[in-house]
Amino acid sequence: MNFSKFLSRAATGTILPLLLLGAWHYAASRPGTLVPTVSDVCRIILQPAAKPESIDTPCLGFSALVSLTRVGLGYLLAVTLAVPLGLLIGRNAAARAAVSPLVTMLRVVCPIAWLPLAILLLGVGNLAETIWGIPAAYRHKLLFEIQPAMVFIICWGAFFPILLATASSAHAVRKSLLENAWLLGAGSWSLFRHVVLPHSLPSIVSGMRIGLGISWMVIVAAELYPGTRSGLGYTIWVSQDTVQYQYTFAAVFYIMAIGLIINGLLWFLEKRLGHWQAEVV
Amino acid sequence: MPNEPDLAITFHEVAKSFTNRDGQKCQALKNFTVSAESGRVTCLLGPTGCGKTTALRILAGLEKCDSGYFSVNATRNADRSPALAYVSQQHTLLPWLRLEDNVAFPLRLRGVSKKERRRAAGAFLDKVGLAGKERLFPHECSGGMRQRAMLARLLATGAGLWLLDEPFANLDEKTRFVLEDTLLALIRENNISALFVTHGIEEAVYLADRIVIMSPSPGHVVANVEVPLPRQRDRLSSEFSALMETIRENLDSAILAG
Repeated sequence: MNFSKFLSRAATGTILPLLLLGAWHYAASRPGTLVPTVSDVCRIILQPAAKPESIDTPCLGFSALVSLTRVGLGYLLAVTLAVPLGLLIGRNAAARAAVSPLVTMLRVVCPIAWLPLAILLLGVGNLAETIWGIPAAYRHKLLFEIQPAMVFIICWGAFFPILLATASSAHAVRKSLLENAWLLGAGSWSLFRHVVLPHSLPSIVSGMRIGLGISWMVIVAAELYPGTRSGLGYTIWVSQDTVQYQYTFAAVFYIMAIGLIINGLLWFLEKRLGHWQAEVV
Repeated sequence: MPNEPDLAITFHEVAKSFTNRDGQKCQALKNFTVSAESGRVTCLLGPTGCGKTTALRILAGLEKCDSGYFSVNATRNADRSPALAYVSQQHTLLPWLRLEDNVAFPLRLRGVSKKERRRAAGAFLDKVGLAGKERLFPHECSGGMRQRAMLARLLATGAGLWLLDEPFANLDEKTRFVLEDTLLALIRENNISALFVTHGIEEAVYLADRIVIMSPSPGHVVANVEVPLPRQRDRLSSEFSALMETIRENLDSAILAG
């Protein structure tokens, strides 16, 4: 019974995507249109390692890898900075008073708006050349596609959701739990380790999920900027310029698929870590 | 009573006030002088707002008194005395830990090995009637089971003095009766001194060796009543009802006078 319920719900959920696909097919079949056919796009999607015929970009698989690496580096940096800072301002009133106004000011600006500033500070060069000084003769392909300025704004985009989720949950620990753990003999480190941290963990992961979503959106826009030679966003811009929309559609599909997978993994982790929150609901 | 040599807890002319959001001062305790003998159950009985909870929180070190002093096992104004353990109305089990890990939490803080913790937690849970429930999380338990687990954690602290702040107030009557008997058995077996806060007259008469009747605004002691009834007490006996009636009159007149 449960399974049939699941099936009928899944079937209901596929109606709108199928309608959209139909509309696309209709649009592509009209004479003189630039809209690529469904089958063209599918063919390109299924060949991630094939060098595009009509545009000058790396294969889609490599583009995805480049985008993922940029996002991964910036995102890891964001997590590394935002989680400890969030815990600090969640638990410490002085730190909160000092940091909150600046955070509020900075976070309302779209991450992309900081890209010119990032380029000004960090240049358009790539990680391998500008930071590590590896001569181009020894070029390792991937490292030469990673620009610090992009990593910076990815980090920027993910930083604030993680910071806010961490800080608010660290702030919201039930007072009686802290008092009781203190009475049982816990010192400040134990209170943090055994009460504040486990309490905040599900919210931290939830913030990480939101932050990653933003990073993944920011990268597409960031790859429009100078110094880029690859990436899914770059593929989108180049294919648009050269009117090769089948690659635009294929790149969008890759962005969607990768985003869904990452989101799903973090969602799963969030549910695993937060199973005890059933009490609150 | 004041000549009793072995006092676990004493309050001497303790005063405590709070300032509320509107800046008004609220006197929670005034001239509060109470003692509790070792190895006995002393109940603080009074209506809401008479400072019962404040008194326990002062003992536990969660509040500071404005004037006067208290002592725990003859140590004055002890800050977080390891001889004390505290249970509140709302359970304070850590929601992300299984019952066995919750019960063993005090041991973990003391650096006891995992294997030893598991063994001890199992034994304590067994004592409170939760054998086989070690792996459950608090949200999977009924209110009664959670308070049982709280009692098991009390045992794990190894403290000889239990502060119990309306621990059974959220439970249905039948569950409460069973837990009251569990509590009394644990107290007897482990030679515990207990200070039990309640607003229930019947609960006080059933549990206490001595009842301290309190009255609100500001919280102070109205009367001390010894409970001479033998254990196991019968809630339906005429002596039980007579004592309840005496205490009710005491409470009523105190409230009218206040």
